Amino acid sequence: MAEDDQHVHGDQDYFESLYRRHYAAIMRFAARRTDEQSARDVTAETFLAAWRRLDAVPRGSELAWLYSTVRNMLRHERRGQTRRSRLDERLQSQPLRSGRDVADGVVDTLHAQRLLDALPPKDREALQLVEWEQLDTGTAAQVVGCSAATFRVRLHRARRRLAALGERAERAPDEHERPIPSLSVDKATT
Amino acid sequence: MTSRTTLARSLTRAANTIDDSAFETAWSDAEGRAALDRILADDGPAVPAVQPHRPGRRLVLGAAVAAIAGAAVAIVGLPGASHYGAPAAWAVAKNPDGSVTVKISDYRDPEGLQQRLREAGLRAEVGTLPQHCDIRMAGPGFPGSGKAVMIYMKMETFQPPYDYAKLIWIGGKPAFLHMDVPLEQVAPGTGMIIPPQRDADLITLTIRPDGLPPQDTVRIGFPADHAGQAMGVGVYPTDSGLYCPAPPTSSAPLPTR
Repeated sequence: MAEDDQHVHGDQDYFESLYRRHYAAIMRFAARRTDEQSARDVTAETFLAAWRRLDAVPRGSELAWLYSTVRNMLRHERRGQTRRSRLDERLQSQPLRSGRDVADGVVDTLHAQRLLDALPPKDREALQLVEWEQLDTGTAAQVVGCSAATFRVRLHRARRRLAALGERAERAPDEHERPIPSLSVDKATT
Repeated sequence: MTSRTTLARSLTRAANTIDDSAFETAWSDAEGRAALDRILADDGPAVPAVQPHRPGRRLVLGAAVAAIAGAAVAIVGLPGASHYGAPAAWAVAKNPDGSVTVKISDYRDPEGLQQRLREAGLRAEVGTLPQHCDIRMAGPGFPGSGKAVMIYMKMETFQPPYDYAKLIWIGGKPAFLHMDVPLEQVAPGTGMIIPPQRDADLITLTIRPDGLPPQDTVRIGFPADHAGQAMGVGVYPTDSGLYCPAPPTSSAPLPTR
């Protein structure tokens, strides 16, 4: 077998191993942020990017590279805007429920999504990477392109803000028909 | 763990609609296998990524991907410095997602390129690197071709702000800069070098103006010596002047964070 052929087969074996090991994680990441068919497409495109630039995929940090790539692809997906609008409409039509023991995790998904959506995007993303994708802060920092220290600060701030929103929703049963204000509105009015 | 942390974690997890074990075998289902077959049928890593005239080999992955792939439609700048039948030196296009794509095939008319990039909404400076600003020695094995590109990143989030190699290496592309050429890590701490293209001398950069830190500017430095000097691309604080990234003939590792 020619040396070039051996090289190509080595690349292919390595890539197929990547695909088997990380497809589910990348698919979950995408499916949490778009519809399933789009998630399939974006996941495939992510692995295509890896295949085309296999030398650029850092050994030992492949998953972070894949997360970063799928994240960027989703950010560029124009249909995301429409999807977000639909989600917002659906969420806005749901009354905010209060009086529930949120500390015990007895909250419904829509309620939690509304609170999460009220956060600034960077805060929301930090929480999602750690709690949904279960990344450690170092890997999550790689994915978003900042230092681990910066990410930890962002995560701490995000948790504090989300908890404050949750506590306020608990304390204000009269507000259950109102949309949750965004943090930027809070900042301007307090 | 504080109660607030517990509450925040509980709320975030409650908002998750996809189970942590979902899609575990999706790579091997019919759709996952078909996608793998299509990917492996693509040219793959052995071919330089800049191959603009091979649309028939591109992978079709659905409407969403097609929308991304067909993004470059609004030509902002006419191809640069094309005269007397000479090939265009560069071309600038603004994409529907707001990103700007510049293709460079020759180091001519930097002033014109700068003007086109600014018309496309990008804070950019294009000039000619000083003659002494020779980055051929940036790493062992660097071939010293004028077609190579060395990437320098400088971000306000790093102190001292030199962690470009790590920034490039992670994910292969930061959010605001995508290079459609293969990357090669020469040695730890020496930065990133784009090796010269074997069959093409076209360099493609896609930059997102809205992702550029507000105090920074994209700088592109054409080599003064086309035969031996590399082109530099970087992001630097505005008004700092064209940055000469390495001491002349020095192979010392560049600073990292």
